[in-house]
Amino acid sequence: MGNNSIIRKYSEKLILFLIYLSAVSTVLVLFSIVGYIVYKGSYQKTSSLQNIISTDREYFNYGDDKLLIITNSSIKKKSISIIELENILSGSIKDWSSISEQRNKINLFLYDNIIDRNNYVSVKIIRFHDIDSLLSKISAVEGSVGIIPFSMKKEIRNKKIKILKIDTDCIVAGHDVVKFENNKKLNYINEGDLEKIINGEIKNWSVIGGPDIPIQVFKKDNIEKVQESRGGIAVADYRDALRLNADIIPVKTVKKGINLSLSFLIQKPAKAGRVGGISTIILNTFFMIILTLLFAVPVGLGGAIYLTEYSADSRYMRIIRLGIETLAGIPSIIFGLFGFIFFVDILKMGIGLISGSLTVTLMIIPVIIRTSEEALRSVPDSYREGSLALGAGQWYTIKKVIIPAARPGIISGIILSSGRALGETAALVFTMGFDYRLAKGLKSSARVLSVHLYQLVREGISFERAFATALVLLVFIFIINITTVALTSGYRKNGE
Amino acid sequence: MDNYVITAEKLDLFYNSFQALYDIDIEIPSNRITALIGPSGCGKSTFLKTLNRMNDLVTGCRITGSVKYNGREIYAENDVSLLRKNIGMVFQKPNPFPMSIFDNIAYGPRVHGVTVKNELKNMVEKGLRDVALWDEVKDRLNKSALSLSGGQQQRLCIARVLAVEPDVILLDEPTSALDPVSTSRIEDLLDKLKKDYTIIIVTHNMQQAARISDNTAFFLNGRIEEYNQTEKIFLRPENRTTEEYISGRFG
Repeated sequence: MGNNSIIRKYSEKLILFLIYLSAVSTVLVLFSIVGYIVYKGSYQKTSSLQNIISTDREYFNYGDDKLLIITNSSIKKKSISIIELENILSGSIKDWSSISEQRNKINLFLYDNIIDRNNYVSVKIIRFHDIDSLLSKISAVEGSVGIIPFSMKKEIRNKKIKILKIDTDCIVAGHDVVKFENNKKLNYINEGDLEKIINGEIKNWSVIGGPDIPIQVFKKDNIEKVQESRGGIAVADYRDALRLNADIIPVKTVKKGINLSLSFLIQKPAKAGRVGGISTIILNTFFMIILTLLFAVPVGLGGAIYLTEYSADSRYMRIIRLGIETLAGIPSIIFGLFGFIFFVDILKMGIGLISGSLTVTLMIIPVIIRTSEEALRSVPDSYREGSLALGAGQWYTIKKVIIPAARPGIISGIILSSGRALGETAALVFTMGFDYRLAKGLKSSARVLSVHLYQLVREGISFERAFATALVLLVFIFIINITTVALTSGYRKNGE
Repeated sequence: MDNYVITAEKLDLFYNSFQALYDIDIEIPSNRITALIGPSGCGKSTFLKTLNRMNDLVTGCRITGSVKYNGREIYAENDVSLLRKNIGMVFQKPNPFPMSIFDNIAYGPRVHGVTVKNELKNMVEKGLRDVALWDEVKDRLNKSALSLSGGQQQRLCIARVLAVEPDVILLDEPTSALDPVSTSRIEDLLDKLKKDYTIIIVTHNMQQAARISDNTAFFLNGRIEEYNQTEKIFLRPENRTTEEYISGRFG
């Protein structure tokens, strides 16, 4: 007897502990997921390997000329690399999107006869022989780029012109430092370590993961000496390093900052989402949800009214109810497949807003029916009796008493289901497509937030952008849930 | 000579195969309060709901025999809405709609097609004055009716019925959910109202029936055991079971 009661007491405690543990772990999982998305979505720390290092220099050498790059002040970028400049001159970069995430076209204006035009036949270059007219052209045309002799810097007085700094240098090292040996080689130098090497604080390559060779620092542009040495290192002009086939070591830079910025929210996306923001995608998402609710609310509410107010509890009704429950449990990808075959193909609506919205409509109708039904059922029968006893018809009663009384519950159900529509991805990939421009009409393909997130990750475009998009989605879902809770708690207060 | 508003003859009522009323014969005089008493499940509320066809809401309910309002067969009536306008009903639990006091009273008139704002205002005021609620709520007609006390709510429900200008008012244990003070106010009100209306009240409260009614029908097991002037029922019941019931020996 005594033993039994002790065992019972402890097993009860154990069960209680396990239940507690599962509850706590659920909350922990939730918090870690949300916390991680919020962290990654709002803060970014991206490291990148670059051959060209930042030198904060205004001029660059071209042949024997010392040249200066100027732009219209609308360009946000402070500096460009010599590679980017080469690409601009050769015409392979035609706008600012890949450099500063701006969409302005690049117009190239050169002074007099600097930079031999014959090397760059594919790009349209306008030459000015008068410095003042060149400068006034640059101040007038957004996104324009000018190249002038460095000696003319003092001529720049217009505030609409800014000097674009240029990075031309890279790090070259002796071949033994970067060659593949004993299954390891030096892949890159951290930005911080580079400074210590130049200062002489780090004296051996092995300290930063390279071979056991002493470091020998040479003066700038002594590429040949570096090549002859074992453990040599020097800063050198990138173009010379390439020409002399030197061993260039990339430098790893870490960029920290805000991930989800205001400009990300209000700019249009471009280049498959690599640049720009998600403004059109947010709008497309709203269009989709509004259209979906336009279809789903009347049908869902109608169904719920029929089920609660008109139908008797018969075998037939039980089958309908079972059907609704089943529909609510069907995976969304199957809705997507159905939508693709039925709306896109058979009804010839094409991949676009209307097909996508109708597909999501099918998905959320069961949700709306169930929540509205619950709200309608919670209206006391005494309201129905009271209204009917005054001579009101059934529809009048539903319209004037039942629906107003159930309104908070119905609305929270609708908001909840729009949350489901907001997060829908699989059903929309087949039916609404990937076009990230603003939808022009009902039949135009439109990308929504969740699909954008999917594309950013699937195509490996940008994890930072994917997380920022995820954060936006999360905030919307959060707003939806808060609204629902506010509505339902308000309803409970006024209910009786 | 009494004028009978409602008459039932050989009325039987069934819920599917269950018979709830047997062979009801009753004549209810106008401008009188008629009380229906009896133990729970005896059929008195069922009979009451028969009179304005609220039983229609119950699936499987059917009747045989005859029940007439002003000489017209209630169950042959096509316009149920008009019938329910003429025979209003007040329920056991106060059931104001979750809307303003004004809209509650104006609900009935609006159902029957009154849309003119001034007309509605007058009807609301008259209804509230009739139930002596006007002075209590005239400053907050736009407040939710759910903010009123239970007794006020029940008077509001009576005013709501009065606003559609009925002929007969059915009350199904209207005071069973109320405190004694509210109860006595409603009893006073009914006494005043019988001048203009015919009132049929179901009650579990013997004293209430004795206090306010002119005639009383004692229901037992779906039959009317005895129907007579209230005085006679309570002082000299003809039927033994009636006497046992009103003296509290069962029920």
